[in-house]
This record gives sequence, C-alpha cells and structure tokens, in this order.
Amino acid sequence: MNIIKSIQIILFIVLGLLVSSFTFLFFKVPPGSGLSTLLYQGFGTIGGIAGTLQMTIPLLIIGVALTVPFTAKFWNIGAQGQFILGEIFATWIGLELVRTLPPFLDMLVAAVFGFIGGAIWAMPPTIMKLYQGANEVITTLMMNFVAVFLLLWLVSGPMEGAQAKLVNAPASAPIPPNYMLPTIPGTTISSGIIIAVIIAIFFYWFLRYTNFGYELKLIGQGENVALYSGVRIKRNVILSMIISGGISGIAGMIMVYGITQTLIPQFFSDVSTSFGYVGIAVAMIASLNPIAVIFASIFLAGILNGAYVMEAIYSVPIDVVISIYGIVMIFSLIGVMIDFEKLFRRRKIK
Amino acid sequence: MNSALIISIITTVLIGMIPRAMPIFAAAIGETVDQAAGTLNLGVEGIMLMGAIIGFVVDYYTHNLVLAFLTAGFIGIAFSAIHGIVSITMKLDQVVSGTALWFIGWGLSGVIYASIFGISSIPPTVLTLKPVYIPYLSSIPFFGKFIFGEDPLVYILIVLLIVVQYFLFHTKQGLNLRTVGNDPRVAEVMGVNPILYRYASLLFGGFMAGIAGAYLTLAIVGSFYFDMTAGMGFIAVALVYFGKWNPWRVFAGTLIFGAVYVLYFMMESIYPVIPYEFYQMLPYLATLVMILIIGAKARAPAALTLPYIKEG
Amino acid sequence: MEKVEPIIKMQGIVKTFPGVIANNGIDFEIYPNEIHALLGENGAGKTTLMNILYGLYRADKGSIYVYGKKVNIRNSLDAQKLGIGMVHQHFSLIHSFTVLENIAIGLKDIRIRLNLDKIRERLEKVMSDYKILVNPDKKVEELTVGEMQRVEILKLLFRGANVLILDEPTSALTPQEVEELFKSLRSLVREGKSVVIITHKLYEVFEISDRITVLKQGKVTYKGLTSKTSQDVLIEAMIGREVNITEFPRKNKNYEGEMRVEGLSIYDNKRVPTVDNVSFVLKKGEILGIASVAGNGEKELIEAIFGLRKISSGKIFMDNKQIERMSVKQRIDNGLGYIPEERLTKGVAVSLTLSLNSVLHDHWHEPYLKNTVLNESEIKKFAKSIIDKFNVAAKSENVLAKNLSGGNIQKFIVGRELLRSVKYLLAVNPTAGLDIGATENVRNSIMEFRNNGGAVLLYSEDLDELLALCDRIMVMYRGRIVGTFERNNFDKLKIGALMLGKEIS
Repeated sequence: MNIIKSIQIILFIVLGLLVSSFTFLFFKVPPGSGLSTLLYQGFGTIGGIAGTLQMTIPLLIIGVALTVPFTAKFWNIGAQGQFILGEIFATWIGLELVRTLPPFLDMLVAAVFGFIGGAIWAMPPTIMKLYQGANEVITTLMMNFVAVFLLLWLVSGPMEGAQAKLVNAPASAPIPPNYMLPTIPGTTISSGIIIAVIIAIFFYWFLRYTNFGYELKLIGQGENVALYSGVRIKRNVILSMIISGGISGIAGMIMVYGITQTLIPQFFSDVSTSFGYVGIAVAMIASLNPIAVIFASIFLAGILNGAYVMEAIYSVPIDVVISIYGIVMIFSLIGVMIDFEKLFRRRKIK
Repeated sequence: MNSALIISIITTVLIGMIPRAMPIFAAAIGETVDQAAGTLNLGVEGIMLMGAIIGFVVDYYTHNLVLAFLTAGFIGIAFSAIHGIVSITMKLDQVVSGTALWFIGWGLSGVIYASIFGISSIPPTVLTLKPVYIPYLSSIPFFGKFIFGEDPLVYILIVLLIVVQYFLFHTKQGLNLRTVGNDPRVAEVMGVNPILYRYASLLFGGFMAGIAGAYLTLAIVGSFYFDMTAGMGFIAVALVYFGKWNPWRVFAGTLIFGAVYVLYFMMESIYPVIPYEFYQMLPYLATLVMILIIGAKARAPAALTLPYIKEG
Repeated sequence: MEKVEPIIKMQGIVKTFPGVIANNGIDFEIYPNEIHALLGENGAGKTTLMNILYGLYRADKGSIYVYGKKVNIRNSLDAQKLGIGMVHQHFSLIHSFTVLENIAIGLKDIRIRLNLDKIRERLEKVMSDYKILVNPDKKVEELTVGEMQRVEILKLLFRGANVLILDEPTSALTPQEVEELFKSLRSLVREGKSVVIITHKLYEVFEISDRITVLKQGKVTYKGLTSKTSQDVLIEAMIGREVNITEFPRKNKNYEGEMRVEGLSIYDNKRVPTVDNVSFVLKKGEILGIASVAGNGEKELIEAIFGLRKISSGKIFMDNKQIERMSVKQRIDNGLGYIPEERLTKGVAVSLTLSLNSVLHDHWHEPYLKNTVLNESEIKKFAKSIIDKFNVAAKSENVLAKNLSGGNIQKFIVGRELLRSVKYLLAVNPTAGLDIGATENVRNSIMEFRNNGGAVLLYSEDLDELLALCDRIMVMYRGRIVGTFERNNFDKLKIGALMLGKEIS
C-alpha cells in the first residue's frame, strides 16, 4: 500500500465527511460549524476522547474480525449476530463459574466461550454458501435478527437477573465488579482497548505474514488464480469465518466484561450498539488493513460520540451518524478503487 | 378444535397476511426485475426507509396520498441511480455500494424525521390508505373482505404483478432483459444493450422499493419510526431468490411469509408456552429455511452480480 | 463464359493488434452458392478476418464490397442487414432458455409483444425450407452440441442471412453430427446461400467445400477450387516448407527419473472423449512437445497432469510416484511446475504485487514460509531475481501485476517457474504475445532448464517453436496421440498433416 494511494484514500474520506456534513442543514446547523463541533466533541475534550476510546473497543475488534473474510471477498454481514452470541455464551459461562474460578480464569473461559459462540453462529451461512451458492449477505443478515430475538428471550427469561426482575427491565445478572476487566489506571477506559489493539496488530501480522492470509488474498482475487495455485478454497473460507465469528464473539465478551457489565437486549434502532454493522463500514473504510482499522474505528467512534453531544446541543438525532458512515463508505470505496492515472491516460488517447 | 375455530383462524390469517406481505412484495417485485437483469441491489432496505419517511412527510404536509407515493418512488429512483453509477458505470463492488446505500438510507431517514418532527417520543400519524370495499362482493362471508376489501395499493400491486409477469415472459424487452441477466455477452452479440437494461431495471427496482417503504407508513402503520423496516428489504431480496426470479412464485413466497407472520401473532395467544421471542424470529428463520430448501436447485440468472466488462 | 461476380469482396484488409499483424493485406471473395473453406493454422488470421466482415472488429485498412457496392460495417447489426451472419466457436446461447426464446432475442422487427406462436410459425417455415430441424420448445441445455449448432444456424437464417460464416463448426461434434451438418450445409447452398467454414481439418475441406482460401501468418497463401488441389499443396500453403529455427545448444546427459502417463482418458460429460487413452513418457533432460491445433485435448491433458481436472481413467507417475490422486499442492511439492495459458486469470493475481505473485506456487515452502510466517525479504529477493534475470520491465517488485504489460507479465510467470525447484515443467504457449527479445529470452531459459536436467512438456500453437525447442514431438488429434517424432526425424509437413487429421502411412 504505497503512500500516494493512502493519501488518496484519506482525501476521499475527508471529502466524504465534508459532503455528509451537509446533512446538518436539516437541523439548520451550518455544515462547517456542525462538523467542527462534531469533531471537537468527539476528539477534542478529555471526556470526549475517553468516551470515544470506550466506544472504539467493540468496533475495533469487530472491524478487525471482518477484515479476514472480506479479504477473501466473503461478505460477512453477520458480525452483529456473532457478537451477540459471543456475549451470550461468555456471560452465561462466566456467571456460572464465578463461584468456582478466580477472576482471571473466569475471564479466560468466558473469552473462549465467547469465541465458540460467535464461531458457531457464523457456520450455517458459510456452509450454505459453499455448498449451495446461497448469497451470504442475506443469510448472515438473517442470523443477526434471530440472534437479537434469542438474546431478548434469554435476558427476559432464563438468564434474567434478580435485580432486573425487580425493575422489570430485562437484563442478565451482573458480572461481579472484581470479575470485570480492569480499567486503565487513571482513566475510565477499559483495558479492553489494549486487548483490541493487540488483536488488531496480531491480525495485521496474520493477514500479511502467514500462508493463510496469503491464500485468502488469492481467493479474493477470483477463483481461478487460487485454484491454479493449489489453494483449497472451501477449507480456507470456513476457517476465515470461524475466525471472524469467533473474534466478533470475543468482542461480545469484552463488551460485557469491560463496558456494560450485564447482558442487555439489543435494540434495532440503537446505532451505538450496532457494532456489527458499523464494523462493516470500519473494515471497508480501512481497506481491510487491520492497523488502519484502529484509526478508522477511532474515527467512526469519535463521530458517534460527537454526535451524541450534537443531539444534546442541537437536537440533531443520533441517526445522522449512520448516514455519515454510509456516505464516507461510498467515498472511501471510490477512493480505493479509482485509479486516476488510468482514467487520465484513457482521456488523453481519445 | 372445532370447525368454527379453524375457519376463523384461516380467515384471520388470510386477512392479516396481506398487510404484512404487501410492502415486502412491493419491494420484491422491483427486485425481481432487477435481479433478472443481473444486478443485486442490497440497498433496498435503505431505499425502503427513505421511501417510508419521504412518503410520510409529503402526506403529512399535502395530505395527497398519490403525491406522497410518487415522491417516495422517485427518491427510490434517485438512490438506485447512485448505486447504478457506482456499480455499473464505475464497476465497483456491488455489495459494498449496496451496503453503503443501506446505511445512508437508514440514517438519512431518521435524520429527516427528526429534523421535521423533533425527537419526541410520540410520533404523529397521517392519513392512511383506506380499504376499498367493492360493493356486494365484499359482503361475501369469510372471504369477501379478504379479496374485495383491501386498500387500493394491493389491487395496484396485483395488477403490477400481472404486468411484470407479462413483461418478463411475453414481451421482447422482457426477453432481452432476461438475456442480459444470464449472459450479457450473448445479449451484446444479439444487438441488445446490457448497460441500458441493467440501469432501467435498477431504477425500476428503486422506484418500487420507495413505494414499498411509503406503503408501510401510509397504509399499514400510519406513522414513522426509526428503522421500521427491520430487515424487510433484505427479506424481499431473499424472497426473490426463493421465488426463483418468477413473479408469481415470488408473490406466493411473500404470501407464505405474511401468513407465517400472522400465525405467530396468533400462536402467542394460543400457545403462550413458547416464548413470543421465538415467534418473532420466525420470519427470519423462515427465510433461511426457504433459502436452504431451494438452494440446491436454484438457477440464478447466470450473470447475477458480475459487472459487465465490455471487450475492446 | 460469363464471369460470376462475388457476393462479398474483401480487399486489402489490414488489421493489427498490439504486437501482431493479424491480417496483412488480405483479398478474400465469397461467390454465390458455394461453400468456401477458410483454412489456416491457429493465429493465421482467419477468425479476425471474419470478425471484421461480421462487424465485431474494424479493419485498419481495406474495403469491403457487398454485391459490388462498397459498404461500411460498423457492428454486427450492419452485417446482419447486409445478409451476413456468423456462428462463433463458443455459441451465443442462453442455456436456460428454449430454442424459440433464443431465436427471439434482440429481434428488431417486433415492437413489444413477444408473439412466440408467430415466431414459432416463422421458425418452422425456415426449418422446413432449409431442412434444418430442432425442437423449438426444448431448453438449450437439453440439446446436444449438434442441435445447439443448428439453433445458431437457424438464428442466422431467421434474420435473413445469405452468407453464413461458421467458425470451426465441427470441433465439438461427433462424426454423425458432422454428417448431419454437412447435409444441412449442402441443402443451404441448394437454396441459394453461401457458407464460409473456418477450419483446420483437411478431410472436411475436401468433403464439403467448393473453394478454398488458405491464410498463413496474416497473408493469403493459396486461393482456388477444391477440385483443383490436393492435400499436400494445402499443407504446404498452411505451414510452409521453410523452418526458421535458431539452433539451441543441447547438452545430452543422462538423468534419472521420468514422468509416465498411462492410458489417460477424460470424458468430461461428453460422449466423445476429450482425451482418449493417452500414454507417453517424459524423461528428465528432454523437451517433449505436443503439436496440435487448439481444441484437440492438449490443454485438458496438461490441466489433468497438473491436478486441475478429474481424469476418467489412467495413471500418472512422477519419479515412480503415482500422482493422479494428489492435490495440486502435493504435485507442486513433488516437483511439478506450470506456465498456464491465461496469464491474467490463472498465472498471476492481478491486484497483488509482483513480490507476492512470485510465490504463487511456493508460498508454503521454505525459505518463503518459515514457522508459519512468510519471510518478506526472501520473497522480495526472489521476485527481484525474477525481474532481473528475465528483464521484466517493472519499477520494482512492489508494482502490482496488473500494471505490467502482457508480455512482461508472461516473462515474470515464466521466470518464476524456471527459478523454482521444478523438475517437470508444463507449459502452454509460453511465448504467446511476447516480442522477439522476450521470446528468445524465454526459449533460451527453457533450453537451459532442459540442459540442467529439467523436463518440459510443451504445448505451443507455433509449430516452428516446437521444432526449434523439442527433442521429441507428439501430435494430438481429437484427444489421441496420432504420431511421435524424434528430433532427427522432424518433418514439418508430416507433422502438420497429422495435426490436420490426415492419416499418413
């Protein structure tokens, strides 16, 4: 990824951001001041940065989780569902073992189970695609909806915590405070962020330096090249989805163990917990580069954070964020794919 | 169970499934044409939401339902035009641009709603489409209301179904369109312009998705709330797949889907033992099962989602 | 005797593509009521010439006259209006549609309503007029290849074609279907049509054609009536007697090891085998060439040896190891290399760097992969060595493959295989599209590889190249080995004859 290309992509992202700021006009907020308030609130104040970084955690992990299958052009839209299943598995086993295990081991087991939950959830659409050609975008998406309702049932029923029953707000029992992931000393930010960054670095290395990552790239190029290089496509795709679902599941575990403390239901209209979907935008804007995902996720989380403040000050609803994401996505797509040199060359010949 | 109960169940299902199925069908009929020409528009969900809000807003201010629907449709055309430029002309990945369009529609619709009506928790309602009761026929016991007492858009959609079916399978343009979806090169060799057909079908699909969204607010719910489509756009896309790109089968699929939806409402009261959340899952599980069933024998328009690259 | 005027006259046609002159000043005439065979080797320019006539290409120079009037054919619609129709080797049919629907695609004289019954009526008239019969309601995927071809011909007749161009019409037909086709063609001529057959099969030419034009390397080398010529004349016109060979220094030592293929057959869901009971031995330190006209099973044979195609029966041995059940990677591990034909879709990953492309067949081997980690510096080194040794015009190894010219990509691919630890190299048209310098470079490298004990199974459409490089040549025709020649017995005309289906004693 050479420097000129990177600058080109960043330019387009900025352009996208500028264009999307025109949506503020709907609220009689001039784009310029709206955008600067947004950015300031998200990145300019200490409180803002802290909030941003907290929101970055699940976004970063899921963004990274998506780079793996996306590299092979397997469109996993189901990270949200895999995330939820990870939350469920982790919370369930974690709460069960609180009595028998010390915090560290409990967290470890919860993480493992979170991985398993997400991985399992990723399998049906993968199998359907590989053996039937079923479009994975639709199937993974359907799994998301099923997961949402599964979660709702669990936290209003079998997994409902005693306190939650009292106030009639569905939620699981809370993870005991000493079993939670510690915060970074001196801040309110969960140490989950460190885990998230480690995951990003690991997968950057993984995609770039391992055999497996290499073969995923070949598959993403088109079947033929992969076949002619001896790659076993089915095996690789399945593995990539196990990884993707599993890591998204770990994001779920960290969400509960690091941020929310209890398992709560997922609401469709809540942008701030739609990490699985925003993660798609993150991965694509980052051009599937896990290190870039770190920055992209901070960027998008900051926009979200700033947007909350915008809501308070200007009554601009939080939903504006999703449209900003979409616009920036399109611009970054164009920025990545367009080869200006080729375009200009063609014009000259004419 | 006695027969009266069975009959009342059936009638309830029949009457109830129409409003459930029709918005999805409106989007699905457009997407059928779309996919038959080889383009996949994953932004349908976002376009439906845009159609929903625009239709709602126009109706709120003008009380003119026709205008509301048409505006919603044209917004759909605009959105799908963007998708077309990005994926057909620039030949960039259809999945990415469709997903981005979904996000934009999703967010923008909420923005528009909030900017006009504020973030209050009680949404205003609008004039909705009233059912049209055909005299005498609608008084037939049991089935009268169901067949002859629906709102006008249902009848329009049925007519549209017949028109699209005729168009795809009995007109020259329909044949050409299906050729483009199967093998754009063959189309080109035979003098048919693939780009033209793909754009046209994409715009039609967008128009219908906009109408579908407006239908949801203006005929079924009566107001707008954020992300009200809850995956309906995607279910529409899946149902096109299930119906094997044949309009009548797609229609049948949406009706089955609507029936399932209604059944769950009913089952809630009849069998409260199974938690209601499982019934809520039903539509989505049903879609998955449907895809699974037809999976092995699905014959997609062979060039679905492949960009058409012209040779020099 | 009155002179008959040609229906179509192509005069002075010149057409070039980057790096090659496909048609170099060709004069070509089609007379009424005749079957005209356009004969030549692969790459002689036959299909290009006809594509120009059919409006798919524009000639750089030259003119076309139809019934004496000069015309400008801009696209296939113009050609159709002039009564010219063409059936390509790869049919333009939609498999899930019926015959009737396929005929109806893109018809210009209907407005909106597709009256299939009317079309059926018209079709049935056409079918009875020319005695070419197909069931109009069957789906194309249910038809035999012969029937599909009839549909293609009917498509043209339906649109009023007077001149029908058929590109290699018998390549996928059984002998019975060929007979059927010939009967239909004769019937068409009786009804006043003219037919051009692009072919390379000599016996067909003599069986069905009235007139022959031979092309060689873009030029006309023979024109005349079929009745007035002979096979030998034609072979010589197609291939030429002279052989331009650069002599390559050969070191003949004895090397241990060989590749043995025994009774290999591939049926490919067809009744006619694509590869028919092929057996041969490829020794280390030799270049074995396959001489055939494209489409006679040579590519499928090579793909099967590499592991990309299932074989119906037979065995393959490499150094006495049985490999026909091995995966592609295992075969590569055992010393197999491959230079495929479609470089952009099979030989390189276009959006990846040259660096990454250099280890396409090596990425699980040391030193490129050590302890599950790719060693980027080793990979870069390897890529650099390919670029340097083979004069690949790339700024660095970090350039994306798609930014290289076709010739340079090919140089890179060839270099990659030759620099790996390959014992048996499969190569398909390795010098296609390369300039003279690059071609020499590649040929020298292949020779060096052979001299150092490597074995090469080489398929090239360029017979001269085979004659220059190979130690032995086996001729493939219709999936079978019909003859093998040692280097001291190379006879260009004999080889050419076998390639074209002529049986020699």
